[in-house]
Amino acid sequence: MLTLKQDHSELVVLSVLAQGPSYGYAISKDIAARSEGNFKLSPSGMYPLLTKLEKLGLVTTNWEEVKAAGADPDSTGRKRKWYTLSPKGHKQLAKRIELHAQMQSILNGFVSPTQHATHLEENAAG
Amino acid sequence: MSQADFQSAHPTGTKDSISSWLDVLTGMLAIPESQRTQVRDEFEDHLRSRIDDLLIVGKPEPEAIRIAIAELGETAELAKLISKAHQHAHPRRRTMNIAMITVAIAGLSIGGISLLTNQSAPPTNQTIPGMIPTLVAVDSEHIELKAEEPTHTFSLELASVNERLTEIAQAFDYELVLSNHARGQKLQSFLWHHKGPLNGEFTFNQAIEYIENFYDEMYYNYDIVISDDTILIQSEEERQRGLVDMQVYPTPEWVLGHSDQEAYAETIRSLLEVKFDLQYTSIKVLNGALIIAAPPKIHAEAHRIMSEVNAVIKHSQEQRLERQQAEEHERNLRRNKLVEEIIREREVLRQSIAINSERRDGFRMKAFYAERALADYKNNAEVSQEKAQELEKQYDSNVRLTDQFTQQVSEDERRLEYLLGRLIESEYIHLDDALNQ
Repeated sequence: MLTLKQDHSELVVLSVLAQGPSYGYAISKDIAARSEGNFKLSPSGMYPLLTKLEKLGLVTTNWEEVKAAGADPDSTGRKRKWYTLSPKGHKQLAKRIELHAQMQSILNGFVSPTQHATHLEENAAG
Repeated sequence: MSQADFQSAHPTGTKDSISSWLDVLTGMLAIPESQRTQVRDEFEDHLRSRIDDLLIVGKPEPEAIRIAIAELGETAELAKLISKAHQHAHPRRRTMNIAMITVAIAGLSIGGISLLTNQSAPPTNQTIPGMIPTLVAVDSEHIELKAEEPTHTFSLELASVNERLTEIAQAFDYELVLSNHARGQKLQSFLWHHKGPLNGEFTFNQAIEYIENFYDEMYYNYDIVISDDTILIQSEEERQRGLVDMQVYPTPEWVLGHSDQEAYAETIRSLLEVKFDLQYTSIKVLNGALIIAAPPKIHAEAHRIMSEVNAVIKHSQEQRLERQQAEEHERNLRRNKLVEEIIREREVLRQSIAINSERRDGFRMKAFYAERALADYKNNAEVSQEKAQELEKQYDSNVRLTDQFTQQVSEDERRLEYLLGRLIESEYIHLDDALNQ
């Protein structure tokens, strides 16, 4: 499993929120599910990042009271913080995706399929 | 256990392990009270959601709680990261990382040919010597973010940490404050002897983070605290001491009596001592409660140790209880089987007594008649000798049979009495078991 670096984390979290509003635990589950368990964003990385995204105005937040099924209607449930991608957040995600594509394209120049194949052959022979 | 069951087992306000952990976390947060409550609510939701998932896959509740809390990592570190995220209103770390990407891309220029010819603009100035041109225009966002925060261009090639922080403070109109340790020997080496650059255009947050990234806080044992107009440099020890907080922990229900509670406190202290210097820690027992005054990281560890110890002890108690219940069930089965056998035997005995009593009475009657006939014979000389002998034989035989059945009935009655005693005894044992539970 790969632990996400901060820059990738931002791209990943913004991408998850582009699918629709979500909350902390669901975001972490979504990341694990969409990466088939290959990516893990730890709570100590995710919650500070969400705070920063909120402060930057890239996400808006609202609170919801969550009650367990069958709970007393008069009882107080726990509170859940929902994050929604703001227009600024959508713009930021588009920039991130563009930057990512540029990086990928540059790196691909170094590891062309021919080079990759040769490297693999050399490794196998060696 | 369903979410509803779990919530009813831990209603809001009770001091369960999750609430205790949340108390420790929020106690460590260096943020305003309103934000602290929100962080607490958000982490409570995270923990309880995670625990619900773990319960669904069959984890026992204490283990689910332990796993969910452990997944959040070191509490003190988590609190520090959250506090930092709340304190820095501007995207300090983020802009630095964007700069790093820029650096990485710019670093791909080989042999003077830029790989970014279509996107890049000429570098505006130089930053860290020999490494990078700073603001390559590949990241238009960087320029946008720059507009949000004032920047300053530094040109320190080789300066001490103190000199660089002083420059940063002057450039952004902050006051640099040195704590006692920073003024004394403890941070002398860090502040004065570690020289390095501060070269290029930085926002305030970028400049501070640049220093922090250069010198690992844990390794150099320093802490930088930023407030509205002050940069405070202190040692980690001073930070810990400044954060000493008192928390009251209930001693677990299985620790009974003052001396055991003292022993429990001493055990926690010994376990903490393995990992921490307890110079600023006090652990006392008062009226069943464990009072700990300590820096946050020690609270976090104490909480972790107590939770784990309690979980293990509770698990072992549950196992013992299960064993006891299984043994009692086995005993009850054996007892019930025995009682059934006794009842069955008593029934057989009663029938046997009834039949044998009838036989005994019959033979007794026959003996009586035989005796009377024999007496009549002795008064009547006409009766033959043979007849007299036959009557005597009948009488003897009936008397013997009467005795035999009398003895049989008597033995059966004693056995019946004995079995009654066994039944009563068994009921007493059962009653005794019930009373002792």
